[in-house]
Amino acid sequence: MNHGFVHTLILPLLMVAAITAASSVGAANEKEPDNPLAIPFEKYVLANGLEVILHEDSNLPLVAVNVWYHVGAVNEVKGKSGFAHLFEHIMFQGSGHVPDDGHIGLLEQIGASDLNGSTGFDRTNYFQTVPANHLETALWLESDRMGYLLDTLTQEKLDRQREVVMNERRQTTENQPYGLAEESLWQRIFPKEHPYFGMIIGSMDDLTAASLDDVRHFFSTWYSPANATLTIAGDIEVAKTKALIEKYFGQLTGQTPPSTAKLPRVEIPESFTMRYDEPIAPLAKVQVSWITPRLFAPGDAEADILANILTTGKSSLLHRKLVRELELVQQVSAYQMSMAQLSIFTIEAVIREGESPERVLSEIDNVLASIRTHGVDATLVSRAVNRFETGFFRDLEQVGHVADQLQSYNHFAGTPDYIRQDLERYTSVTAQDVATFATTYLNNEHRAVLIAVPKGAVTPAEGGDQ
Amino acid sequence: MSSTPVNDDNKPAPTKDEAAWRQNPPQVGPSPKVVIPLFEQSRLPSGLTVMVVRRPALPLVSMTLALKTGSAAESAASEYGLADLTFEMMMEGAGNRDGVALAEEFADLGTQMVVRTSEDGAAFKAVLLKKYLGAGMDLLSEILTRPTFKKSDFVRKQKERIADLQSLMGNPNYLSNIATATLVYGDTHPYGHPVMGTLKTVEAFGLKQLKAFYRQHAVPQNAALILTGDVSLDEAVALATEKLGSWKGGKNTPVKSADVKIAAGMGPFSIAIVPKPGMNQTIVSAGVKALPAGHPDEWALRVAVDAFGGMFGSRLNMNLREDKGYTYGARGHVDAMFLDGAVMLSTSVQADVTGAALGEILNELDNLKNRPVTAQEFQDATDNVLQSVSGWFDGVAGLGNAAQSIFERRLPLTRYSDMVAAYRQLTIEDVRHAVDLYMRRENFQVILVGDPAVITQQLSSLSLGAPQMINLQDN
Repeated sequence: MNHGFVHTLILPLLMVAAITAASSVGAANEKEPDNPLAIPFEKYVLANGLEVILHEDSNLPLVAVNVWYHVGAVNEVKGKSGFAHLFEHIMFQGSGHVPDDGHIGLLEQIGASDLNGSTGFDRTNYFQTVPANHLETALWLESDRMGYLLDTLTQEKLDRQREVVMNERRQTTENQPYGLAEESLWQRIFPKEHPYFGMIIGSMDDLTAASLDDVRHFFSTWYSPANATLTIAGDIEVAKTKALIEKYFGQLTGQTPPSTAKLPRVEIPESFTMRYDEPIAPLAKVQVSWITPRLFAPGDAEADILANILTTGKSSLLHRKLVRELELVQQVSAYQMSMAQLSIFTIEAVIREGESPERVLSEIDNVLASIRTHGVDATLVSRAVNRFETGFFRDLEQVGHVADQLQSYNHFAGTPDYIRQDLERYTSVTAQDVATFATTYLNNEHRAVLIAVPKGAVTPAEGGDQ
Repeated sequence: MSSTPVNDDNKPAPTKDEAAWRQNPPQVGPSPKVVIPLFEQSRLPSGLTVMVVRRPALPLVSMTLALKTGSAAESAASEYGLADLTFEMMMEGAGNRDGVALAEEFADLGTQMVVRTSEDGAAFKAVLLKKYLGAGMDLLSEILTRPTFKKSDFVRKQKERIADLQSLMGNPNYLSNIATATLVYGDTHPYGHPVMGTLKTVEAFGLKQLKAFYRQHAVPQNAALILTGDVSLDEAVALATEKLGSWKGGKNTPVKSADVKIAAGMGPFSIAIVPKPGMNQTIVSAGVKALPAGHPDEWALRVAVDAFGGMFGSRLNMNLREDKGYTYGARGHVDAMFLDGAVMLSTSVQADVTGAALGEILNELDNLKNRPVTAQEFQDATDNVLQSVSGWFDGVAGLGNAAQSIFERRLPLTRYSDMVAAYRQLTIEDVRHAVDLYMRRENFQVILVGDPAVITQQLSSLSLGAPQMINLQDN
């Protein structure tokens, strides 16, 4: 359920008769009264290629306006790492008809919440939840930067946001415990030519090299209506909303986006261990990563379930073994980072003072070996599935999340109508599937190991002083 | 990758004239009515408070058991961290289940129970599908009434907590948070010590202390069962009576505001450095003791701080981020708790502009005198709250948190509708008055976490007096 990490603008931490859509493909999905796990929606496409998804929910007088551009770090070229995210920052600096400091300022005045933009490996999104009467304000702002961003672009805007992003990199990578260590492992796994190599935030050198021409080119290539999807969820009248969308977005034009190029193959041909002198954290850390199936591919749900079985809660296998029984680690976590091209499965543990990283690694190996040999108890799988089921309902609580969920399915699965299939991916996993996943992917031959040790610290040799 | 040639002419934007209608923001209809959830409450004969907010859209319920005891109830330095560890220990075994069995049973219900302790209180929380609520309540009842406090569990948990603290003590943000609390409130104030305690205090705890703390504080008179989501008050009272009706306990002596000596006035301006060698950023925080939640000046102060540093478009963020590019963000907020509160400002800046950034923060504080909160800032900050408040309570867990904060801080059930009424009556004079009372530069404490050599050199040009060097590792 961890769909890759993102970098955001702000640290986390806010009519006339209907015009017929030019080419409605009208996928609709009526809510069944006995199955609350459904998101009714309508999808259609404007003449200029902009996809629109609408979802009505009048529980609260709020509307979520959410735009996904089908571009991310994956579309960066060599020497331009971090550019998709830097570009996202510039999208908030005003456009043809919106003053430079007007975008966020205006949204804050009207009481927008859940207001941000985020750049991932495979997509970039912009979102805000506004009081229902301000739907048109949000459409005005989103359409203006989709159509007229370059009209007011200046070198100064680029320079300022470059500095902001460099400070974001310092804050979220360089001065975070294990931030640089994790980045260096990532960059041993991915070839330099692969656009995931830059880990979204990019390098200081590449950020320094970004030019105004790069901004113009990126905008023209990737930010056309035909490469975007607008989702509106909340207290709306559908006919009126469609008319507003036509008014604000219908006249925008742009290039046909190129398809994402074929990427270099990523594999770990032979296991390796890298050591890193950790500058920030006082305790050592061990991290093991494998390449696993991409989001929604067979094996992806198994990975999520296995991660849950390994480290969610006190009864999870690795927590129980490493934290409670052996008292070797301060914390342990496992997760599948699912991306469009491939995924990375990671187990990481922060090691207690005086204990050996090698010992921790071998205990992790023992638990995995046991799963490969003996499988996992079916009860553990059904517990994990129960947790995912609760999670699916929790994702439907806020209109902003519903809008983003529809977008995510539309982008990664090819249809917004995917929530039940998504849950089914989890409910259909068996204990045998989990063991097969562990055997196939989490092997000792093709894995990457990081041992980060605080600068100047001495850790016991293998086996430790047990 | 893309080989599409750069050619802006491929993008035939409409001429300026055609798009001129976009020049003005749209005229919109009237604001929708503000929707504030209904907080309902009842009480069992045992003294247990039952709070409910009904939100039946999805078959979900957030279940919280809140206690009005947090780290502020730790009366002596030897108790720092006791509340947090005691409540964690309650989940390490109850009745005939050990900690793992409890976790397994919550997992069977598709959830996980966590306990979170803060200054004013502690809360055991889980979000469940409604069909599992009764079973969840059974487990909660065991944890509250029959925790085992086994010696071996305690010894293990104590070591876990020590490892947690060792890890946190290397995290620059944690160092900044605990140093700021201590310096802003003062180290003898109930909010002046870390919720998790220190290595020294946690190492010295004995199991007896934890048991006594449990007996004194985990009692129905001190507690609220908070259910939010697909549940009515009648259902909640019936469930509480069935599952927790027999929960008894001695009368506890909760912290009352009258019991606490709150130092009058605030210390003179000071600067402290928490050394973290090698960092290429400095975390700059500045705080000043202000007011408790529910104080008559609270809303005016919140508007002032929103305009100054709360919003993206606030003076602080626009100056340090958007104008200077020193940081990813600079923000401020009001931390108004039960006994007391503070205004906190914080930003991470690249190390070589530490002095310049601090200078700008102090200038902005001074500027509040020369250029008081403007009519536009006042309106933006109040509108932001009035227009967004309907969305604050989305989600059953969020509703549970809001109810918990009402309970812990002894606020009226009408807290949020009172707030809306108060915001509608506020004047710009109220806000300027709050600035004058609570946001004087000379009362702020400044805390800098980062490379001590760089910071010292950076401060040399500011002539702010000698900084105090604080070594938190010795605690």
